[in-house]
Formats: sequence, structure tokens, C-alpha cells
Amino acid sequence: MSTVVIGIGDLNVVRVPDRIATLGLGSCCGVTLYDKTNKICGMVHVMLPRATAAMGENVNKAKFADTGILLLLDKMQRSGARRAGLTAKLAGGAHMFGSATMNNDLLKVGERNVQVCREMLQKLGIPILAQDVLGTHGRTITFDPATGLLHIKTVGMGEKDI
Amino acid sequence: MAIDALTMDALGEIGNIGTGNAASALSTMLDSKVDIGLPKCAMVPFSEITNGFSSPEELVVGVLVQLSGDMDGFIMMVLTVDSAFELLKLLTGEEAGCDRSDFNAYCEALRPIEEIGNILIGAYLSAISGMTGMSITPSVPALSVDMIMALMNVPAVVYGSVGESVLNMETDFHNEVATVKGRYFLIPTSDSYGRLMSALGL
Repeated sequence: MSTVVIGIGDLNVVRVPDRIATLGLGSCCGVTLYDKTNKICGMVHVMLPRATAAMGENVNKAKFADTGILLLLDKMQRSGARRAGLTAKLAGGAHMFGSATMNNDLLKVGERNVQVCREMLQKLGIPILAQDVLGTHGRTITFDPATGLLHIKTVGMGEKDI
Repeated sequence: MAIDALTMDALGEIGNIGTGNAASALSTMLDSKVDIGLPKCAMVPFSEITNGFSSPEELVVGVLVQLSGDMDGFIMMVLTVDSAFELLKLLTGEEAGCDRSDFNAYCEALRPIEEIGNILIGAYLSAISGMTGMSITPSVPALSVDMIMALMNVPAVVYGSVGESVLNMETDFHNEVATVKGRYFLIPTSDSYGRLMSALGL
């Protein structure tokens, strides 16, 4: 059993007994898709809400919520996951330095990341079973396809499974 | 966003001058010598942005100031938690008597770092303004005690829409006995980076 760690703007797919994790989500959002029957799980670590046409074709699509979720879905299906039974969990999208009076769109990007992730999943008809989003703190998340649980670790706000 | 070697050197020099001035300010506060390291300036891929730390999850204290005026972007000062407590001890002459297992209590104890960071960042910026003739307006400071990767989401978001790497302008500083160690990250937006270059005549 090993834990595959994905970086910022990255995605991957694992199957039982492996797990998949990403470290230190701030305003970024971690989205997991899970096929319970085949025990396959994918995770994408998105940084920004939407890809723009100006970015061209050579861009890393995993870093945007809209294109990243589609890319993950595609990789899940190519790895043998069944589209019909997929479920999702969401974490991240914090407003780091959020106690400040700074009113900057770049700092509030977490909120928009979460919003676009929800919209995309709804459009794709993938139910969101659980989420731990927003706030002002970072999160490290690990998904275990054996149990279907997403483990969330924070600094000072404890740990939990959702 | 591609940057040639000459430009990188010029950017490194900006970091050097900013950090130098901030180090003088800190030295005055502490009444002891403060050294600065060699400036680092590079385009760093997203996957490597926390490589200078022990892990992406390393607990740090960050002070962030937003920049406007002739330069848009951010500047962030990052200290290890131990350095932050040591700095407070050196400044106040007493140990911060808080329970380190109580996160809220020690965030409260670290609260003065916000204003100290603000003063040091102010010194950094005034040196850059002096060198480039740019008028840079800092916002009020904000403090965060969290994992370094979560804080580095700020530069990642600033550069994320224009490429796959961040412009990392980093300089470190430390006191003589190296009990206080920290770094500054200057994060101009990609538009402001061009203005910065023109101001330098590049």
C-alpha cells in the first residue's frame, strides 16, 4: 500500500489498496471522484476557477476547476471507473490571510474555486457526498478508496474524516 | 513568462536592496547585527515552490501586504514559528508564556509579529521605491499561522493564470546567532513585472 501525493495543479487516479493525497491546500481546492464498486479514486488539486480561451491549448488544464474536473473524469474512465456510480468530495477553498481587511479578488479566489467545482459537478450529475471548504486555514487531504473516506488534517483545527 | 539571466540578476538586486534595508530596520529594533543571504531569483515550477522548506506542511508564520500604485502584487515575510517566538522574546525581553499545544493561544501570542512584519516590509518597499522611482502603496498587513504550502497558494494564484511557474524573488535574513531566521517573497503581478523592468531601464 502506498500513498500517491499530487502537487498543486496536478491530478492522478489510484485504486485500492493505494491512497491519494495532496498537502497544504490553501485557496486551492481538492476534488475527489470515487467509484465505490471498483474502488477507484481520483483527485485533482485546482488553483483557479476557470480556464480562459486566451490560455491556448498547451496549458496545464488540471489547474482550473472547470477543465481539471473534466480531465479527472476522463482519466477515471480510462482507468476503468464507471461514470454512472461516481460520487465526489470537496475540500479547501480557504481565504488565507482572511482576517485582513484586504479586499482582493486574488485572495478570495478560494470561494470562486469552490463555487465552480460545485457547478461543474452538478452539471456532470456527480453528487457531492461531503465537503469541508472555505474558512481561513490550510488543509492536507488523503482519500482512501478502501473506505471511501476523505481524511482532513489541519493546523490547530484538528483532524477528521468526511 | 520567460526571463533572461540579466533581468534575473537585476531582480535579485532589487530583493537584495529591499532585504538589506529591512535587515537594518530589524537590526535597530534588536540592537544587534542582522545578516542577509544571497538573493535568489528564479522562475520556479509550481511543484517546487516549497522546496526551500522542510516539507509543504511546515508550520510557519506569514505576514502578507498587498501592493498597489506603480506595482500591483504582494510581499510576504515568512518566519518559522520558533523564529517568531524568539523575535518576540528579543524585542520584549520576556518569554511568550503561552501553551504551545493550544493553537489559538499561541496564534494570539504571535499577533504582534503582524506589526513587526509590517514595519520590516515597509523598509523593504521604501528601498525598492528609492531605487526604481516607483510609488508603491502597501495595504494593512495580515497574519497567518499555517502550512507553508497553504501560504504559497498566494503566489501560485498570482502567476497561475499566466503560466506554470512562479517568479520567486526570495531573500533570507538571520540574526548573529541564527535563532531568528526568515525570508521575504516579492510577488509582483505579471503586468507590474513589466513596469518594474522599465523602471530599471531594462
